[in-house]
This record gives sequence, C-alpha cells and structure tokens, in this order.
Amino acid sequence: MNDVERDLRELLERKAGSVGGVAPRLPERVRKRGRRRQAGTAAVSAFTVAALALVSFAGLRAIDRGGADGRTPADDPWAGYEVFERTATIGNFTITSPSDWYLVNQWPLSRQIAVTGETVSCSGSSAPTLAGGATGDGPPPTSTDCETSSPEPVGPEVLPVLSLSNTDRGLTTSPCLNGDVLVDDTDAVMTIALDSGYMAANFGSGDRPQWPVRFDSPAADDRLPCGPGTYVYFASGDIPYVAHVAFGDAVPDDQRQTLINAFEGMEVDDAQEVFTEEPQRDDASTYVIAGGTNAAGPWTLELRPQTDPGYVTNVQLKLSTSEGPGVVAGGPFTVGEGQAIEQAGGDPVFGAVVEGADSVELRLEEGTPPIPTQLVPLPPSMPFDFDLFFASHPSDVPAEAVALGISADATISPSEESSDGSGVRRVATGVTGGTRWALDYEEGRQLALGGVGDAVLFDRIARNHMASLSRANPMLIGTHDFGSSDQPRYLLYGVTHHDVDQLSIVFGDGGVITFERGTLQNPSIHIFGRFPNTSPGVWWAEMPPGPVVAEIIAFDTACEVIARSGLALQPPSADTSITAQATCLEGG
Amino acid sequence: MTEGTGVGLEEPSITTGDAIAGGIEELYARHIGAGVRLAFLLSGDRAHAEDLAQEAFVRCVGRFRHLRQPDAFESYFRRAIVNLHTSGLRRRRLERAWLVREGSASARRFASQPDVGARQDLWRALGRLPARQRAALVLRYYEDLSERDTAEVLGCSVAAVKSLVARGGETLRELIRGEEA
Repeated sequence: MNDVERDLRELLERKAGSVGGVAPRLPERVRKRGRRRQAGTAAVSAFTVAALALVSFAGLRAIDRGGADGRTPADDPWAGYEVFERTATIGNFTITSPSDWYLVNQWPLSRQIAVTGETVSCSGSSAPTLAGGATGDGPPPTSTDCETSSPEPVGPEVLPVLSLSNTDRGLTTSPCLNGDVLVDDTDAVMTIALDSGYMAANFGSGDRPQWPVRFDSPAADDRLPCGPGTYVYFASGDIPYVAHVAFGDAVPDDQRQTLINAFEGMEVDDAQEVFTEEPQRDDASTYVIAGGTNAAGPWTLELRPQTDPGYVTNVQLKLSTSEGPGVVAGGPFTVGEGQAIEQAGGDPVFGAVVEGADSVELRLEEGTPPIPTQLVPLPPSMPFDFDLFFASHPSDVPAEAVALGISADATISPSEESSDGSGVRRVATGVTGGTRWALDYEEGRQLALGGVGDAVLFDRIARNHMASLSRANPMLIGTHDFGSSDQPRYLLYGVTHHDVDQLSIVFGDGGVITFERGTLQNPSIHIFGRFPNTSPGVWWAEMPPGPVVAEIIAFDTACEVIARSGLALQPPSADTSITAQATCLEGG
Repeated sequence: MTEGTGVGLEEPSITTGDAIAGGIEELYARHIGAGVRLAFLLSGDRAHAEDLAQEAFVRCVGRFRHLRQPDAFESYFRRAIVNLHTSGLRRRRLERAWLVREGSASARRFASQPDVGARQDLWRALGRLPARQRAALVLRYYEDLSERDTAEVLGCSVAAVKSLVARGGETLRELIRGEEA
C-alpha cells in the first residue's frame, strides 16, 4: 500500500466518523414513499409476468414457424451455438426475437442527435451490404475508435429506436437517418423510429392509431423517410412512431414471418418520457445481446466496440437496467492473453470467454449444482476470437464463471508482454493442485502469483524486496502451497540478478536439476529468459506432491557459485541435510 | 494478499431477515447510518448524503419483497446509493450548466465542514475525481470490498474496477502534487 492509499483509508475513516449520529427513526415521508413503492412494484410485477407470458408465446410461435426451413448459411456465426429467444426492452419497446437475428439499440444515438445534434459512430464494424453492389468486402477493420460527427444540418425526419435484421449490418449505419434503407436479396430489416417530423408538425393533435396495430395496417402518412419498403404508422400515448420493414426479393417466407411476428408481438410502454435522459458523450448504437428482468427491473446486455484506450480488448459490454442511464454498467473485457474468461455483473452474470471454450458455467458453493450460461458469438462485424456469455443469477451468492472444454495450455503465453501499457508481463499460467495460477512480473515492482480470472493474489515478491536484488543478494525466492494440509504441493518461483546465468535445485533425496537462462531443462522447471541481459531473470518450478527439502544454488557466467539458499518446506523429519552437489553446465 | 470483505454496511447484531420481520422501521434503523456515511464519502455533502441514503432506502424497500435473497439488502442498498449518486451527478451537471448559462450564482457546490486534522488537500482532490473513480476508491478503501464485489456494485468488470482505482489514485496524486506546487 502506498502513501496515498494509506492516507486515503485514514481520511475516509475519519470523514465517515465526522458524519456523526444519524437519527435511526424512520421519517414519516420516507415510510409513506416506501410503502407506496412496494405497492407499485407489486402491481408492475404482476403486469410484467402477464406481458412476458404473452410475448414468450408470440416468440415461441415465431421460432416454431421459422424452424424447419430456416436460414442456416454456411458462414452463419451461430452455427454450433444454441439459438435462444431474446426479449429485450429498448426505450419504450419490449421486443422478442430469435438471438441469431441482430437487434441494434439505436436509441442512444438518436437521443444524442435529439439533444446535442451530434452523432458518434464507432469503427470496427463492417459496412452493410447495400443493394447495387456496394458491399463491405475487404479486410476486417481493426481500429475501434469512435468519432463524433458535426451536427446534422437538418433536423432528422425520424429518430430510430431499434432495428432488427437477419444479417449483421454493423453499427455504423443508422437506418433511416442515413437515407434509404437498402437491402440485399436475402436481407430482412425492420426499423422502429420515433416519428419526430410528424411530432413537430402535429404536436398535440396527432391522429395516429394507438398501439397495438397489425403489420398490415394501412399507412396513414405519405412520407417515406426510410426509402422503399412497408410502413406502419402508430402512436403510443402522445408519441408517434413509424415502423419500416424492407425485404429483399429472396427472403424466405419463414423469415418474413419472423420479422412480422416480432413487430406484432412488441409491447409499447407509453408511460416513459422520451427526452428526459441526458445523452452521454460516448453514446452510440449497440448490439442487444440479451434481455431479461431482475430485481431492479428490465435489463439489457449490450455490445459495442471497445473505445477505452487503456485496454487491449475490443469489445465493451454494457448492462442497462430500468434504473435509468445512471445504471449503465459493464466494461472492457480481457480474454485470450493468459486469461480464458472474465466476468462481471451480478444478476445477470456476463462476460467474455476464449472462443475455444465448449461452454461456460457458474459455480457457486461446494455441492451446489452449477448454473449453465448462454454462449453468444460475436457479430461478424467484430472479428475477434472470443465469445460472450451470460446467465441469470438472482442470488447474492458469489458465482464464479468457469470455462469448460479448453486445455490447460491454452492460455500459457510466457513470451508475451501485455500491451496494455501497464508494464505487467504475464510470465506463465498453469494449474497446480487443481488451482489455476498466473505469474505476473512488473520490472522493479513485483513478481506476483495470483489466480487466473479473478483478483486473488496468492503471494508475491514485493517491491521492497525487489529493490534489494544485487550480486551480493542475487536470488529472491517465493513459495506457495497449492495442496492440502496432509499433502502439500509447492510451486517455487523467483527473481534472479542479471549476473545469475544458471540455477541448480538440489533436493534432499539426492536429485539435482539445473537450468540456465533462456532454456527449459526440465518439463516442470522453467526460466524466463526473454529479458535483456541487464534485467533480472524470472523462474518457476512446480514441485511434486509432498514436502520439499532443497538447496537452490546460483552460478554466474563463469560457473562461480554466487549464492546458496536452503529450503525446508514441511519436512517430514528433522533431517534437512543436502548431500548431493550441484554441477555448473560448462558453456551454458 | 487476502481480499477484504464488505464491512461498511454490515452490523452483526441482527440479520436483515430479522429486520424485515420487524418492519421497515427496523430495517431503516439498521442501515441508514452506514448508508449516510457512504453517501457522504461519495458526495462530500452531509445534507445531500442524507437525501441520497433515504432515496436509496425507499427504492430498495420498494423492491424488497422481490429480492430472492432478502439478507442481501445491504448490497442492494449500497448499489442503489452509488447508482443514485452517479446518475444524480449527471443531472446536477446539466443543472449547473443551465444555471451558468442563465447567470445564476446558485449552482450547488459540494461542501463539507472543515476538518483541520484531516488531509484537506486529499479530501479536496477526492471531490474533484469523476464520480465512478471516487466511488471505486471509496468502495475499495472504506467499504473494504474486494475488486469483484466492487465490480458488482458498480456493475462493471473487475478489469474496469482495477482501471478506475488505478486512475483514481493517479489522479489524486497529480491533484495533490498540483496543490503542493
């Protein structure tokens, strides 16, 4: 802990103490509001259950209709993944659709346009396939920067709320905002938009039919802001909306019906205001991966390219709940570089996992059955080699997400240096005594042995010790027992001064192993030799089960012994003598 | 290193389940003090902290019967306070911007009683941090939550918590160095 952290802890304790006593008596107005809120929540819950049952039935019907002869192209990113029914609330709309259709939340973008006149678009998404030959061909983009455009020169006719399509059209397009919605032969695209042009012209006097309406309701407006296609105009409360649907010529009937079912099965809430939320600077369109309801109300799990410059990864997952824009959660996810999985959230738990994982499950306490999670492939516009996962977890019991079906070696990358700018090198990961561990080295700071996938730090060689490293004190050694009380299982690890060229471990039973800088002399003993010669070396060695009695001997390049260090870890007897001799490897 | 566990809102005398059986009065008596302290550390304003904690309490109580784990009230309460604070800050930023445009001098500022014994420079610097960085520091260093629990309260990944804490600490150091210069 550094000085600022220590001072901060003391300050926070002191300041918290300065608050003094708080009257424990419940104020009358708080009591009344609490009771009213309890009653209101109960009523909303009853309504939600009924609504969910309705939309679930509609969604199941849609899937049933689209099942037998549905779309399964060879390059379908959902091939091998389980398609599920996704019910998500976006703005005032709750829509149910199959998970292999692409549901995009356009509302943050529209809200920003409505309030600030600016738009943000994020690259990392392929261009949409457009009619007339313009395509998104070419190498996948690698940049994921977001850019803010200048204000729209003319107020938009419509403000898209969501789009649903059977192909990935990326996030850079804004249906209707960018002009006509153009489709390829097999594309099916629906856009739901707030009809801002109509609203401005007919404020308080609109005569749109109230939701629900059928898809074949006659269009009561001759404006066609989204280009060719089918329009349905309707209102919910005082707010006018327009639905635009465009089908390519070769779209199968089942997919047309899926889209129509999604439209007609929508729930539209007229209780919410539409312009009360302050737009965020980085508001942009997002893929809606999943939706559901937890104790805080409806939630959506949304995906967009990662834009935080402090991270290596390229996606950002965001959990939104009905609490409003203040409860926007999520973060960048780091998997693949020595870490197979990363999780966040509570209910739901969600995260990212390396693409090779067969499945992900949530593990709770010992003896509790694991909770399966839903795996979701990234959209084609995000060409990164990992998957997303999520699972409802309406409990406060901590759950650890565990990736299944990946080999222990999959995440070992001893030669890689993190490119996140932190200066941390993940020297190794492994499994000892059933525990996944990682060894992270920060030059001049620490060598840390921690858990993989969580924040547990088992042991470390800390900075104050690192500072003592010299030719006179050329070895810093750490040990950690991953075994049980009756059967220890040690991992040895250490940092050596740059003068150390070879290390020998001589065991009490007479065994001797020697390894030198940059070589692997034993399958279970490694030395990390990729540092420059003037830098320390890092090594680690996994011991067989049982006590360890050993001496570690350091040689320099002239085979001169420059240090010896004895180890006696849970010795079975008082005899910890070492009789064998270490031998320096000439020319090593 | 051993990760800490939440202590700020937990007082071991009775369980939340007992408190519920005794009604929301008992629940309030049990949690409001710690809630106000947390809200004060987040906002720096004693009166605002009480409003914040009471509002969070109302919201949590409203949903309480729908919680699968009633004993988890503390964590829901803590999360509600943090969320209300961060969303409220955004609203107040809008209000302040509007008030500035209108030439009003009534824009609200954080205020706290002088505490000559405390690191006032650090306290001022803390008040200048972005809301989520400040929340991450308070949850880690006052509530003693683990990184995972902090991530759950803030609704973000563990990596994001690490980033928030690191950036918050670094910003504090820069602000203090700036004051000393």
